[in-house]
Amino acid sequence: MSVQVKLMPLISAVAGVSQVDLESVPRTVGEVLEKLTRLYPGLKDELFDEEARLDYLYQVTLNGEKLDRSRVMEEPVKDGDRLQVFAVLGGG
Amino acid sequence: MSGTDKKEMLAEIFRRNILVPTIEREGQEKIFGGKVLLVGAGGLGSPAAFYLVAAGIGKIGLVDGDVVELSNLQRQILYALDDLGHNKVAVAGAKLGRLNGHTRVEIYPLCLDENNAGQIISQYDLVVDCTDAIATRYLLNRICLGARKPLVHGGVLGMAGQLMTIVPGKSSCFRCAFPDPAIANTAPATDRFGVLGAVLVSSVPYRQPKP
Repeated sequence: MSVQVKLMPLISAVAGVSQVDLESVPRTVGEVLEKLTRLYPGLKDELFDEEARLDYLYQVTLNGEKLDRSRVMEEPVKDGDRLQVFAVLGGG
Repeated sequence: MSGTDKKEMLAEIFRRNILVPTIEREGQEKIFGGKVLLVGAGGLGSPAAFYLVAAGIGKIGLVDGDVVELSNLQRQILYALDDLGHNKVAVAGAKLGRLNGHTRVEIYPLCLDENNAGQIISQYDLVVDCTDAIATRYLLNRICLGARKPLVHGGVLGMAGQLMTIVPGKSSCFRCAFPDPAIANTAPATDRFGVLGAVLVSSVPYRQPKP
């Protein structure tokens, strides 16, 4: 029973790790992210804005599918799922 | 100017490079012979181009199909008010060509695509990804891997910047780090979230602390 979370460049630098395996499976992506902020406190200010929404820099994929930002926190998670949290800095 | 005078002038221009213990004369000769392609002559491309030419790179290629706009001027330091409406690489080529008279500047006033990327990239030793189009980043990654050309990727947004050096066969690649090309359709852009000019000259991935 676990959920794999990959932290991609930028966010992994803040956490100090690039992958976390959560043994007790949270119910939603929001709970996954909240659990990460407890494990790595520096992530709280990085991942969320002042209104506790996912910061504009970050996106989440669940089993390779990009999640809609407006519903990302409520997205259900189940055993064996793989999440990626990443920043896309597309400007040049 | 005689050949001897020019040689002496170049030696003086690049003396501070040569004095650096890890560069010295041998390193400067490598820089003199280096050929670098910059894809994107905007916020990232401006300082990258200036410093590559100032350092004495042998040949620089500039790819960009855009024209200079007012909103470019707070960070794209190659351009000024009197360049508005002109093609970026034409303006950049003229300015960079005056820096030291050593670097050969090639301009490509076009957008890189499947049809032209391979042929252009084949003429250079190193490619620098300074584009603002994520689809072009994936294209560059694929073409450079296939051609075994090293690629330096840069990206910025707001107060954050990231940098990745991709050496085919030795390092991970852009798609290794960002496996899902669908991000090309949804990535937040500087025209919505802005970008601070100073972010563009940072050499390490970082993000300013939130207030």
